[in-house]
Amino acid sequence: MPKRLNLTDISKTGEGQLTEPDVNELMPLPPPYDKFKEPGFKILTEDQRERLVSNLDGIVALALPKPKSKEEEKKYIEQFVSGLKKLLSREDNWTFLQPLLLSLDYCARCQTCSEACHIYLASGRNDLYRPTFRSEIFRRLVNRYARHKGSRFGGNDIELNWETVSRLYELAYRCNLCRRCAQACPMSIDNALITREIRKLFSQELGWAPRELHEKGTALQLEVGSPTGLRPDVVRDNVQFLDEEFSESTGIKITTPWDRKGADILVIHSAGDILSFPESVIAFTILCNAAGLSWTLSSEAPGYEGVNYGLFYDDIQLARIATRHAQIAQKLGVNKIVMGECGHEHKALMTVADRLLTGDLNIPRESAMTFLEEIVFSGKIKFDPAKNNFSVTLHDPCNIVRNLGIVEPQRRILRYLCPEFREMTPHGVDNYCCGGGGGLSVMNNVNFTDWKVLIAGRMKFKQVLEAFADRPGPEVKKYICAPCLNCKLQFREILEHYGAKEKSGIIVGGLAELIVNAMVDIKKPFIKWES
Amino acid sequence: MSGTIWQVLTFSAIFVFLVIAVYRVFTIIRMPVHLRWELAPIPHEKEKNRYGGSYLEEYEWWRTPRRRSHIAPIIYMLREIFLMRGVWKNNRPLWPFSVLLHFGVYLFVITVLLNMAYALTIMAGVPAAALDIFQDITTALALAGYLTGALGAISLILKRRLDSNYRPFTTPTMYLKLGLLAAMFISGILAWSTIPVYASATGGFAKDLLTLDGGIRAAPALAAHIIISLLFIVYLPFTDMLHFITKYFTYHAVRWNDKPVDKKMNEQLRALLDKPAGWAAPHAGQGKSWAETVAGKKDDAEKT
Amino acid sequence: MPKMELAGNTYEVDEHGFLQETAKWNEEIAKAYGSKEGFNELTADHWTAINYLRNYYLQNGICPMIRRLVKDTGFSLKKLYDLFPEGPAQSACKWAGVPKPTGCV
Repeated sequence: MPKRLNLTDISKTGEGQLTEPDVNELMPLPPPYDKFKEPGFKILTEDQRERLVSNLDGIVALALPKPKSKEEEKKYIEQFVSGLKKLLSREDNWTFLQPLLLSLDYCARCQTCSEACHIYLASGRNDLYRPTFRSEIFRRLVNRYARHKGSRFGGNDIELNWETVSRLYELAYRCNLCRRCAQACPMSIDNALITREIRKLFSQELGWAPRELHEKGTALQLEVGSPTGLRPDVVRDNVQFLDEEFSESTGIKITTPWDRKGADILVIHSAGDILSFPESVIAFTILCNAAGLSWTLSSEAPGYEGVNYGLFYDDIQLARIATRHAQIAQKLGVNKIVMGECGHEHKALMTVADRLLTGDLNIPRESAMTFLEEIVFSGKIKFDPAKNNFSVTLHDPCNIVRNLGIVEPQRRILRYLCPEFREMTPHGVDNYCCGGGGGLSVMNNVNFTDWKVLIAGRMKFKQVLEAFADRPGPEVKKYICAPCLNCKLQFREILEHYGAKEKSGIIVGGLAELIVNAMVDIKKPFIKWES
Repeated sequence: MSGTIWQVLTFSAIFVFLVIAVYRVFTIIRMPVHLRWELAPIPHEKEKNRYGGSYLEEYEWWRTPRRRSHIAPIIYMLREIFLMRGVWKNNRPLWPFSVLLHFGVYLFVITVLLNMAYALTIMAGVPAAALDIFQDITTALALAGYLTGALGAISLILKRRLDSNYRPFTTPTMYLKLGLLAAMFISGILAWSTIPVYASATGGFAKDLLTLDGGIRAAPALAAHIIISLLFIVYLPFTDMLHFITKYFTYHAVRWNDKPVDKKMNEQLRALLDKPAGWAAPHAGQGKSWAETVAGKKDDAEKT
Repeated sequence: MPKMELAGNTYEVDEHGFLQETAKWNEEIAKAYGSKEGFNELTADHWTAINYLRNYYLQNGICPMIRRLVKDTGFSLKKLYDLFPEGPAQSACKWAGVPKPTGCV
């Protein structure tokens, strides 16, 4: 299937795919994974091909059912145009109007952004995954159908049909919203912003969004408290169970406080950590208690769940969840909210939603990186860095580092507590996304997981291997410190796919566990290397 | 060609340029305050800009006053404007062509200004003979500009046409833009090569322009060059070539806009949150105000 | 939504084969899932895990975390992977007729 595409291909009729990524053309990986026998992308079943729209690249993330009639197709096209117009309206899109119009009108089409995009490069330079491919198509649609300006001379040659609409919807979810393209652009055009606006149009106007992000995401969080389905009573029960388990295994009394009115600090974790990376949650408890802080968690829905998937696709859901978080903190009367180890929680609550929290709701918010650094260097806890006697590298979550500029606190901790710490290349604000960004980490419908691992996560896996290249064998323990749950989940997928734990000794975890692992008072190792 | 037609054409062209440019900039400035969407590295972060850090790294950042560098963003922009910093860093194969074109444009602008300066100096009574060296410099810079600009524009046309990474994204309008630029620079080379001391012709023309002298004249090659240049000036503000002004906004209004909410912004935001959110999806506003949509009930909305 | 035939009847499932209407589950369905993954018979250990999972889900609205599953059934993680080839989240939850876990897990 072709890798070189024309923009007008997006409206090609006849249900055919535009392209398909080829495992033999992907960016090569370092040894021994250059010899890895890649099973390739999972193929759609006959039944899936019949029921679902799969006209983009053979990958289906969104499970969009095929429309039943031409009238239905026409309706969606009309809604799409209506959505385009609303994106350009002050009332309906004041939230991002200025950034959007600037990005639409001043792109020089110089392709510099493509050279910065990990997805485009990892795919073997398939045109479909260029940031400009999606943005330019959208730009031309906006100009032609919503602003009625421009001409064929200026490139307004994209036809708006069902194929264009359905392909663009799927294509909007082939981007991690990492904004490396925005960084690289000399004009500061932001293709991730445009991608998000496309997703927003579909969600806020047509009601289309990935099930994992909306129905079982923000909607579920607003209804019961968390996209995981954790209810207040269940979350308290689970954390109590963990308190007991870890009190036994560490030999120190661990009690996580709940709903303490008037506490100084409210910590909001990504609730999924409770279920999947409980060491992280307990590590916070251990550290806060050992430092003698006045702190609490909240068991009022959704105060125990820091995620805000609205950041990925929908301003209304983003605003709702951020407002609830702030209201809960306000009720508790805390002086600050500390973001747990969750990248997009940082970005959603600390910066993007900052202007949605007016008046009293604008309670001070701080990053876990800063918070943990303060604890580590306060002198209140004794550490023995020699306990972290394994190779450590740091993954920089895009939403914390590139988007918020929080770079050094976590590094100061690692330089102190991890004698074998080494950086990836590039790192800091120049990092590459893990491939799970933009909500993709929790999206696993149909055959999307393979795309995430093989393409979105490829550059990061290469970086990890290069960082650990000094002693690549499995006998040397290697820890990817990834202070973000979505990143950890993506790493988990990647490591499992390649058998990297068995072949190279690599595991992934957060920052708080590394700190606790170095505590003198915890005799047994806190980080577990056997499964 | 001679006569007041020159004043008419020139001042009209400049007038159109200014009106359209100001209008487009005004529409950008008038847009409502938007949600934060900043991106590291932000140069105004004193000391931290070395590695792209921000004030959000500070412990309880809201207690400490912000420490901003005023000079660092200027240096960043100067590097970007004069050395094409972004293209050098991220798309080096394109850099030589981009630099040539932009240097051509900058030198062109400089020579226009030099001609204006010459004209004003003469009008103030300084004898022409005293400005000989000045004129030689202007003549040299004019040619340098035309040569680099022509090379830049032509090479970019070829790159966009021949390189399959660029061809699918290049529209007829882009060829027109680059073609007009190429014509401007090439006509400049032709004019330059037919006039012994180029700057004396252009300087004289500038003086006659500013003094509204009806006897203003230009030899055919120079006339052609001036007309094409005026066409370009009129065309520029209608295109994305206005990026030379709008880059100020993409950087300062969006990418480096990390201001926390203050009293004035609070008022603007309240007004916006009262506006109707007209989105049609079941979970969306459907005409209710943003504040109502988000809070669920009107009385649940934030207090003062 | 796709449909799957299990133990003689057709049920609504998601794209990974997880039962969507959890109330319709019965033991025959568990056996049908098991045989798809190579187990013609389900042992007592299988049922211990399946029943634990299902009861926990019905009471709490989510699948139990692995630690809880390990502790309350007494099965090590290795044993769980022997019983359920794709693991507790992918196989065991599916055979127990419980929806695929959602959110960041």
